[in-house]
Amino acid sequence: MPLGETDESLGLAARSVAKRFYSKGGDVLALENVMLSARKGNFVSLIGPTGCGKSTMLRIFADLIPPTSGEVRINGKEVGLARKDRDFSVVFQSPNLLPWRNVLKNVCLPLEVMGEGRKERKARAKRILEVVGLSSFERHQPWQLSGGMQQKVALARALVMNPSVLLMDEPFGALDEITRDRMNLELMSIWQKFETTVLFITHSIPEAVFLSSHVVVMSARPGRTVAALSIDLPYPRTQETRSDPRFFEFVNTLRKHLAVASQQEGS
Amino acid sequence: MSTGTTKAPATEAVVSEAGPPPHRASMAVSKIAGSVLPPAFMLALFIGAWELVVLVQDISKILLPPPHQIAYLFLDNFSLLARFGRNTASEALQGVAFSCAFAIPIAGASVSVQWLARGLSTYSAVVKAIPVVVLFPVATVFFGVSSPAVIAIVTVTVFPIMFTYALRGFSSNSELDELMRSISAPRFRRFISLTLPQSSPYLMAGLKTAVPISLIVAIVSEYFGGSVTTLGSYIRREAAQLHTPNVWSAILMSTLLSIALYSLVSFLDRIVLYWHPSRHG
Repeated sequence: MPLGETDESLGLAARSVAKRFYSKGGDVLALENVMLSARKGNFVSLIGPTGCGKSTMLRIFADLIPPTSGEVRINGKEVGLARKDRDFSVVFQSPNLLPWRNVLKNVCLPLEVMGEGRKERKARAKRILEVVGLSSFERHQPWQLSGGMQQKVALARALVMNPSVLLMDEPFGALDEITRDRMNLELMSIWQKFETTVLFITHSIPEAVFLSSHVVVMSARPGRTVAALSIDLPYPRTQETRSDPRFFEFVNTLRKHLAVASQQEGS
Repeated sequence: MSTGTTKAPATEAVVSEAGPPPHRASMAVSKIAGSVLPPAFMLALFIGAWELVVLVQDISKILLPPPHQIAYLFLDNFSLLARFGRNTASEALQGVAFSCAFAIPIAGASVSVQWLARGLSTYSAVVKAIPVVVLFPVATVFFGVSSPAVIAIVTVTVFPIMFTYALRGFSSNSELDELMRSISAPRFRRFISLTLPQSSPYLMAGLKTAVPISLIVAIVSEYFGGSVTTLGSYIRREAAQLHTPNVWSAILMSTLLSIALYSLVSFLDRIVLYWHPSRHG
């Protein structure tokens, strides 16, 4: 991990991040001493047992919730500022499309908020829809699309802002195995085209290995970053990558890390 | 009809708007026949019995006119009744429009201000408890014996309904809020692009309750002294002169009007909520 580098070269940086949720039933320490960083253009997956706080970490990066302590930066900026500057966009677990808008208008939404003109909006949205292969579905309503297609629209909506950082919270978790593999391939080619920094939350080890340049493993609650692995399989990764023996090696190594991480009880 | 309850709009929509499947036309026809024939039969039976009772018992038409006479008067007087009905409907709908114009922005503003929402909810419950009739003297002080007085009364009575539904709709949270925050949408933009369309099932349910009530309130207010060319004041005049058949024809007109307005709202509902999951199971 490129820890200790200057902020400017880092797309994402979290230092000693902790998050405590206060509730009537008692406080919950969700994150403790999370250290994470990603160089610009890296694809970093965050993997860990269910409930370890992966999504919480992503939401802290997205400035949706504040950390209790620690420092979080995107492109060297404080995350609130990064959000206002639209340095990043988020792809959520569910597609979160507005059901009263058709595909094209859903993709236009962030541009409307940014105050982009009508023509420019449409043109940019159409270009992005072409990239994700949904050009012929512009006029469809969200409910007319499959789960995978809906998530592609969500991806297009995230990309239309031209963000330098993409925060993805288990975006393909609800999809079947085959659709997920296909989405991974498409995400790969999109990532290489746009050269974005990606933080990708998943609990699928093969998915993490296939996509990532780096994988960070988190422990069970309270979530801590316990291992980081550099996946130096060559890009572009294709269907063949999945049958590369080194692919399996990485999967096995990660599996062991994850097994250890899942057993560690919070102090 | 209760003004105090707010039903979940989605389920109501499923029940009332689930249309027949477009294919299998014959099945659709038999389905419509099945839902139309029984009430039509009952109506015919009821009118027949009414006619018979009046005939056999030789009841004075001042007490209870026979249906055929009401129907005759209704058709004979149709242009007058239609004009009065239009005026009444216009007052009722203007009242609904004004109450929406107040209730929606106020509810929108009070969603994020807890004490405002709580305070206004209490007072809207108080307003609901006021009998319409007692408002009339107050309204006439402000507006005179006129249409604006009736519109004002309708506005006041319908406001709590629209406010309650709007507040409910606006308070429902979803993951879409996080999306809007993640793209740094300002509050007003969030309201226009997300909150308002998202709560439209509630607003439509509010309208479905408010519109029939507005007609009732308008007629009652007119009865106590609205503009002369309205159904309510016509009923009062004719009743005072014991022109009972005319009163009945006006009642028939207000019933038809109420059905027409409700159908209009249902139609609007279908257009506005085309996207709602209940419309495309």
